[in-house]
Order: sequence, then C-alpha cells, then structure tokens
Amino acid sequence: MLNDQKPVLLFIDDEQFLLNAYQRMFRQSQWRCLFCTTTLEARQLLELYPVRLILCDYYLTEGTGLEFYRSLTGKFSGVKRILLSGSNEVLGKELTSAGLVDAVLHKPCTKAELINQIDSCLSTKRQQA
Amino acid sequence: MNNAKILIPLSKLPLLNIEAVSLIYGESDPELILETLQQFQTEAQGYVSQIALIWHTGAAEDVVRYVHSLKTMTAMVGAEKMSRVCRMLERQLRAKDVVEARRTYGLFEKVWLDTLQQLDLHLLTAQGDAADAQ
Repeated sequence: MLNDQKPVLLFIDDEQFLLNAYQRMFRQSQWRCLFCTTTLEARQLLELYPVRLILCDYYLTEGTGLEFYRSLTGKFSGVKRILLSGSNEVLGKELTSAGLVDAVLHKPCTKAELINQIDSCLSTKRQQA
Repeated sequence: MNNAKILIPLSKLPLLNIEAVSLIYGESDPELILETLQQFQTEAQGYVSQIALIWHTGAAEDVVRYVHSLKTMTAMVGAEKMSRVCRMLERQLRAKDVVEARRTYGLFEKVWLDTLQQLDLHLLTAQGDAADAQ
C-alpha cells in the first residue's frame, strides 16, 4: 500500500490536539507517519501497513496504551512500542525491563526527544516480554 | 521535559511561554505557532467548559480525565502556570482530597481566565503582524 521504503510509524492518542501536534512535527520526516485516535483504528492500520514502531498514549478512551500493547501478540509481537505518558506515575524502567514496552516518554515531549527515542528504538531489535 | 520546572513556585511560572512552543515543535515558524495557539484556544476552552459543567455532578473520574488532558495540552503551548494548576488538581482529585480540590478549582478558574487573556493578546498581536507582513 505504501510505495516508498520509509519506516512506518503509528501514533495513537485520543486527544486530537496532540495528534495534530505530532502531525505538525513530522510532516516532513524520514518516516511515514500514521495517526489515529482509537485502538480499533490502530488495529486496522496495523493490518494495512507494515508498521515498525507504535507510539501510544497511556490513557486512552477505551483503556490504556499498556493494555493495547499487551494485546498485540502473534504477527505484531515484533513491532516496537513507545508509551507516551502525561503522568510521572508510569514507571518506565519497570515496563521496559519487563519487555512490555521499548521505551516510555513523559509528555510533553519535544520533537528532538521523540526523534532520539524513535531512532534508538528503530536501531535495536525488540526485546519481547 | 516536564520535570525541570517542578521546583519553581507557581507565582513565578509564566502564563504563556511562546518559546516552549518552538522548543516542543522544533521550529519557530510564526504561522505554525499561530495555528497551534488558535487550535489550543478552541480545544482547551472546550475542556474547561466540560470540567465546569460536570464539576458539581460528582463525576470525578470524568473531571480527572479532562484535567489530565488539559495538563498536557497547556504544557504543549507553554501555558506553564495553568499546566501546574492542572497537575495539582489532578493529584488532589485522584487522592479524593475534596477539600483541597475545591480550593484548587477556584485557582484553576482564575488562572485559566488569565491564560486566555494572555493568549488573546498574543494572538491579536501575531495576527496584526501577519497582516502587516502581507
């Protein structure tokens, strides 16, 4: 479905304002970025596109980003995962050590922080739970 | 990025720090900043109105959710004082500290009005500059 060879990233956030922010940040980037507000749409996009990395908000309307990541098994288990959290209570080290996510970023994230983390995630192999 | 200013007193935090927008978005294009602030103004006002509407209904979980979202949105545009108040209110609501949350809600309303005023001022100036440039 995508003609170019750019790695595909998928952003999930139920806040349209934040999705628009990510769209503005990455409108010209080395990645092909997809955006959605629900995990249902996310699953459809995962079926349609060769997504390499997902960046998902922790609090979603229909649950948490962590629950969504836990549900990604089988053919999606190798997809890299970054959890975006607006709360300092989400413990990044524990989640990454347990292999549930590849990284946790605390919002608001700068474009530079996002780029660094995306680069880092894409350059390593996923350590699965 | 949100941990660095935790120790600064609330009174010293700016209502609107436009430089934060440039830092977060990684560019200082005036059009991008204007577009971002306009969208913020509309969406954030919607959240504040929703919070006001449900504040007295006892639907604390909904209030927490809106306050949590507003906390991040305000931080994304450098509305640092409002973001800090949202952080305080969210923490108190999650801890079910009703007395403190009520106190903070008064502050929340005041700081939001001050932030809006500052935002309006900035948008008027920026729109005027854009018109002059054309």
